[in-house]
Amino acid sequence: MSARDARYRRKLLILLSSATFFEGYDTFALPFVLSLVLADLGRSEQDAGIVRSITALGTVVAFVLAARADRVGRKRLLLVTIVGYTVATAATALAPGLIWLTATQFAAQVFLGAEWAVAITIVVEEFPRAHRGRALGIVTSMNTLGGIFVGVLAAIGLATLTPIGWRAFFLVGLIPLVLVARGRRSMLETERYEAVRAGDGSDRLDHTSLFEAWKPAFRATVLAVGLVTFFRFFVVSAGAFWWAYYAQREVGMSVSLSGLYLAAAGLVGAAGFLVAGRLMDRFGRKPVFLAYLAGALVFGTWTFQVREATLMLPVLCAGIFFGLGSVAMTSAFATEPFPTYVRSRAAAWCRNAFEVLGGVLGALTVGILGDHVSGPVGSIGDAMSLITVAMLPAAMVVCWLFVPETNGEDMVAMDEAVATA
Amino acid sequence: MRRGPTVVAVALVLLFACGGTQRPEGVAERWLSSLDQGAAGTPDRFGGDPAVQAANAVLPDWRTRDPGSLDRIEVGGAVVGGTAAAATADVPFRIESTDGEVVTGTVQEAPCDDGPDGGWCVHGAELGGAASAFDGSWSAGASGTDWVWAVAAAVLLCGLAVALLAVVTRRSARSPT
Repeated sequence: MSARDARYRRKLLILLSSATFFEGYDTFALPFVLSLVLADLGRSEQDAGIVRSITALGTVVAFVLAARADRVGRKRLLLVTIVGYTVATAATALAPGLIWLTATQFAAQVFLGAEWAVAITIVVEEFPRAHRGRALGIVTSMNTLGGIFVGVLAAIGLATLTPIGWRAFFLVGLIPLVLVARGRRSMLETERYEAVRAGDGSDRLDHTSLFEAWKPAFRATVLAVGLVTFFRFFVVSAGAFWWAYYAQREVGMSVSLSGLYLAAAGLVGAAGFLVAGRLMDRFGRKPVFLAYLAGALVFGTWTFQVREATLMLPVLCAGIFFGLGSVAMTSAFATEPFPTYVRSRAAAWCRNAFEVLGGVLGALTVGILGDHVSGPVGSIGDAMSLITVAMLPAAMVVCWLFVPETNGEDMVAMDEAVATA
Repeated sequence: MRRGPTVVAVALVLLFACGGTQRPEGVAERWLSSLDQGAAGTPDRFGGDPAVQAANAVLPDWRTRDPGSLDRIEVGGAVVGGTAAAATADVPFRIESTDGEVVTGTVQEAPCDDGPDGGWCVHGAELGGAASAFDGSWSAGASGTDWVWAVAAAVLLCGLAVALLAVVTRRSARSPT
């Protein structure tokens, strides 16, 4: 029996899913407990804004770590990032002050950002062509479920159930360490990575330069995929960041009802990833991505125009289904078109450089345009709808014209072509 | 070649410069939000002592309440009146706490004496009578022109992205690997 049989891939999927699950978990954990943290540590909202900005930079710095996977190997980097994250999150739970908390959450974001990129790369390299999309759908969907899990823990009152209060949320982040302890010995380096490193042409290939992904052979594809992820995440991240504010301040929904809606829509959103994964194996990455973005354009714009709480839930569910679900395809775009020796670096550029930048600028732009006191538009909902209309068509056009279809891409043939070139 | 970015930069500067006028509804909303911060609340930032006195009238226990105890904060469209020299703005509001307590009324604002140009300050608050004046949804929003600009921005972004990628693709094809 092959060492990489279906059972091994199932175990691998669990390990990789834990990586993306806790990326989603950590993204939402700090915002959820922020008011408790500020009260406990005696700090202001202004301090909280600074903490948020500094920790977000960790995802950008993660770029350098993620790119190391082409040099040190996927397995080693995945294990390093999981251990690094758990150490950082445990240290957060011990924070005596805000500077400590900022430093440890910054470190957690560095490890989580790299973990995501290497997890996606492993899926693409270890799963058979016919099942890659489905596996990508499962692994990426865990990110949303991680966010929902924070809400569940908050709803059951984790902070009040334990004597350590908000710190309990960060101790939950130790769970991946258990999975690593169990899966460390049985996990293998990816077959493609081993083959490329052992191949005759390996010495001629540059396994270290961060800019290898920008050499002429890959430049147009990195730029095209980068722009697609930038435009998409500009809208999706702004929508995720501002929806609760819009629902509470512009629609008149209560905090509790908006939280309930977000949890329900998050579950539907997770289904969006899984459906996308199956569809892209069957119909190809590009057609499914274009269909998803068309859905995100319609329902994303509509979500921020709804003024009735009853209509909000179905429209929000559809918006999240298409908007978040489309990340299954962008994960494929960021990895599948590139040969193994440079794949992690290309994925790191697309994710940690373009996507993160889009995320930061999107939320900022909507905040400036929609500011209730001085914004040119004066409404977060309308500002959000306007940028959805302005940005998503660009993602669709660039994908349609410049991103290669990679459904059924033969990684072995691609690597051989590079080695003999 | 440098004309495009310059035009975009000038357009952005004009866009934000045009957004200089302050909305009394936004000031009222922020003032009410400051009453939801417990001891950390700073309603005085929105008009000094008169704003604090108004806060005491709306929520007498705002300093000792738990932060986040207001489940809903709604403000309606402002009724701007008075003269050019002494403008006033009345903003209807409705707040609801997590235990179901509802307070409605009107926030009274006037131009700040020492605030930024066009800034509004809270001068007082009148309780009751505003519940039916609005439906709880936010009054400001995008104009038809804003939507046309959004569509134009979409066309511009598509054009710029396609042009950039066409150039990069052509140059990459010419370069040695």
